[in-house]
This record gives sequence, structure tokens and C-alpha cells, in this order.
Amino acid sequence: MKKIIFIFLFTTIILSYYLEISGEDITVLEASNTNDLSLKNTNIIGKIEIENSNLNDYICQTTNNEYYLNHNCKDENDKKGAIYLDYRNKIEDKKLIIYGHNSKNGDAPLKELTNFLDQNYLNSHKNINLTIKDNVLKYEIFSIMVVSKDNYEHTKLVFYEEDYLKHLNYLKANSYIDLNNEIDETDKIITIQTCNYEPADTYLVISAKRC
Amino acid sequence: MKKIFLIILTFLLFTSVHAKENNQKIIRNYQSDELLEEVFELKDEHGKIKTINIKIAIPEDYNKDQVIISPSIFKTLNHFKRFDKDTHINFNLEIINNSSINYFYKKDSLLITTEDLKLFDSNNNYKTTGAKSFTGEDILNIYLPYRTKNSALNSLYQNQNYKIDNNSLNNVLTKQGYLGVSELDKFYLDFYNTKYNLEEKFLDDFPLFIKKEILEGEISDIKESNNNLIEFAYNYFYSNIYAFGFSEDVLSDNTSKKLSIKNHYLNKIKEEYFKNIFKKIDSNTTNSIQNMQLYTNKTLMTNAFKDYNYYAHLEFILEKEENVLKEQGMIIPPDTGI
Repeated sequence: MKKIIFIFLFTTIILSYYLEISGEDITVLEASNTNDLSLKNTNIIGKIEIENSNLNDYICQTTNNEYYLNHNCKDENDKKGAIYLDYRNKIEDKKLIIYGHNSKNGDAPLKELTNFLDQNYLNSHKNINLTIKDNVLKYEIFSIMVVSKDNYEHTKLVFYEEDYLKHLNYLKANSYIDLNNEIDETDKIITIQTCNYEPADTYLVISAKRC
Repeated sequence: MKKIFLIILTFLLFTSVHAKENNQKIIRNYQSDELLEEVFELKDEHGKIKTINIKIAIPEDYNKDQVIISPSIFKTLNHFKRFDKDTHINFNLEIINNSSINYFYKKDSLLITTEDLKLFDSNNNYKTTGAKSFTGEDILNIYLPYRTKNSALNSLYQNQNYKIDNNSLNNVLTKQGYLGVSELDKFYLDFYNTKYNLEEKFLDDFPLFIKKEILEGEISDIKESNNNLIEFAYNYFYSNIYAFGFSEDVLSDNTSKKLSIKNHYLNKIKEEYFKNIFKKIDSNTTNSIQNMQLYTNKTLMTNAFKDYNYYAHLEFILEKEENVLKEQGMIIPPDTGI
């Protein structure tokens, strides 16, 4: 009996020691000494940057589209929320949808996007970069839409054959500003949605194709 | 020889299966008792009903995936014989969504057709006749047209005073080389082909004025018992006389064929229109369809349809918003404004 108790205690001590120095814990310790949030939060799947602008932020993703409306990328309660990828998306999808708050008065993760309604701003900010797993994916804007809040077409993610090209044409044809770039069914795209206040009850929806 | 027999058997089996597939019976959906339906009738100075306002309320605690809208007033219109045959009634339908769910119109769910005739015989006294409607259903013996003393029978009896019961007709028709009442339709086909120098194969192929001529004339208490003629009269009624329209339609004797119940059923002629006028109904809001119309064509009405039982069925389905969007690969977008 004493032998059994001894073996049990010995095994417990060895195991607890092993767990203390296991890989996961080491990673957390290392991450806490860095500024790279993505090492701390596995919900962070990459970064988004608009060239020549202030927008350069993390993209999160979880199992729904509500959580990051009021949580930041540190998973703290934050009414400004975070920039996040649609929960239905996989990184390899041909269309990715990204959401984030705009604000009428204060600061918000995607407030910068409102500038795209100005043609001059657009001309010098056409490029969006996504950094995913150290790969920088470059995109060029081809559509800027202002849509009513009861129009859900831009959230479409399931496509059957010619549906995808139809959808791309819909995005392009309804662009607020006429952009002269071509688009076809082989293009991979991102669509970014934030709120728009003029006119009221609308979304600003920006779509860009992979270069 | 065995091989030939086998091939023929296989062919017959295939065609019979194929025929069954084409003859699938119509599926009607009926409004749930959970919905509250109120009906307000507006009469003209002669006491005749001209407008019916229908209010259907989806209750507060309703949370099913679908709402079937099928106003029960349609089923009772003719049942109580409250309307003359030369009728033009307007319907306004208001739907009040007291639930917490947004509902969308379900694509292709608008169904305008005839009603299930069995519903109106609570004693189940009906018998099948063997005649079939264009919906694939039996035309029951309690829904038959009158046999008329039309120009063909007048000619057969040489305009003398005559009876049109089966015995009398069997006698004269057999003398003419027909099998009797069971070939009355064939006699009509031959008679009108000769009269108008035509070579049609079916009564339904005749021009409208001949079809009307077949169903016109004096009546007694004899209802038709020839199945082809029962089907012919049924088709004539629902293809030409009984019509349904929405507010964009001008219903008249000239348009009733185009807007006939049969055309609605077979060709879904109002699906595009309807899905544009009734896209959705949000929680705690009201949506309405104004000025629907039921119409009977006076010019084409004949004695054969005196006391004829006829009914229209209207239904459409509303589907939970999130289910409809999911089917289309869409979602309700997150509200990205602060």
C-alpha cells in the first residue's frame, strides 16, 4: 500500500513539473513580453492595413458576428469593438467579409473608411494589405457602395457556378464611385463593412480584389 | 418472341411510371388556427358585397419557421352562394406581424388555384366520377355542370320537344352509330367539326365560341355524366370564366382568360409581381396587399354553370428571415455603428 502511495505521489510531482515547463505556458510567457497580440490571442487571424493611412490593425475571428462588436482584440469589453472576419469565412475562401465599427462622433476601428467617399482620397488609397500567417496579400479597391441596412446582398458567401460572377458584377455596378478596374470570376476579393451616417441607416461597403 | 414481350413490358412499365410522375396531385397548405383572421364586408346600395377587407394577425408568441397565409374567406365565397355569377369582388389583405420575428416571402410559394372540393362536403357524400381536373384531382359528383340542350342536341332531335336524360340520349345516339352517352363528347366533336368545317381531335381544341355553344342552351335537372364533358366544362370554367387579379390587373370579360385560375395555377403568372410587392414583413409591422380581385366573365357564362360549385384557393408562405438568407448564402449584417 505504501508503495502505491509513493508511486502516485512521485508521478504527480513529475507531471506537475512537466506541465509547468510545457510549450503552451512558455509561449504565453514569451508573448507577455512582446507587443504582438496575435501570440496572445488565437482569435487573431491577421492584420489589415490601408497603405498611406492610419488603418493598420488586427483582424479577429470567432464563432459569431456579435462578440467583436463589443470586445477588442485583447478580448476585453470595449464598445468600439474590433475589426473581425465573418464567422462563416475560412481564410482560403474566394470572398472574405470583414466588419468593424464606425462612429459618428468618437473614434472607431473603421472610421477611416468614411474617407473613401471622397474621390481624391480614394485615388491615393486604393491598396489594402492583409497579412495572414506572415503572407502579405495585396488587394485593390474596385467598389465602394452605400447600401440600405435592409440590403444584405453584400453578406453573400455561398455561390453556385455563375452566381459568383453575378455577385462581383453586382458589387461593381452599385459602386458609389466609378472605378475602372476589370473583375472576373477568378478574382479573390475582400468586402469590408462599416456603418455610414449620411444617409442615415446605411452601411459603407468597400470591396477590393486580390492583385 | 420472349425478348419482344420483355421490351414491350419494360416500355409499358416506364410509360406508366412516367404518367404517374406527370399526374402528381397538387399540395395545398392551409392557414394555422394560431393566426387570427378578421373579415369585414362592404356592400353596395343593393346589399351586394363589393369589397372584403381581411386582417390576419400573427400572434406575439408565434415563432415558427413558416407562416402560411391562406385567407379562409376564399373557401366560403361560393359555398354559401352569397355572390352572383357576374361578380367582381375586391379583396384587401392586411397582415399584422405581432411576433418578434421578421418574415420574408418564400419564393415560388404563391399558389392560386381551385379549392379542394372535398372540403365542402362535410358528410362525405361525394363520389368520384372518373373525371380529373387540371390539378390532377377527381371532379366529384357533387360538382357537375348541367347538360344543356345545345345546338348539337337540337339538331339530333330536330328541334322537337325532347328529354336529355341518359335513356333518351342513349337511344338516339346508338341510332347514329355512337355507343350512347359515353360517346356524347365524340358526337359533339363530330357535329361541330362538320358544322364549322374543322378537323379538331378534342373539344378543348375548338375556338371559344364553339366551346360556349356546346355549353349553352336550355337545361332541366339533368347533370352531365359523360366524363370527358365534365372535364371539358371544368376546364372551360376555370380557363375562361373564373379569374383572379392583383391591383395592376384590369379584370374584364376581355382579360379573364389571361387571368384565369387555370392560367395562374399552371403558369404561375403572378410570381414575379407578387415577390416584388410583398417582399417581407418585419416584427411589429404591418404589410398589405390591396385590391386583389375575383371575377366571373358574364359573356362566357352559360346555363351549364347554374348553381355550379366553384372555389378559388389563394395561399403564400412567409419564411423566417434568417432561414431565407441562409438559403441564399446571406446573413443579417452585424450593426457596425456606435
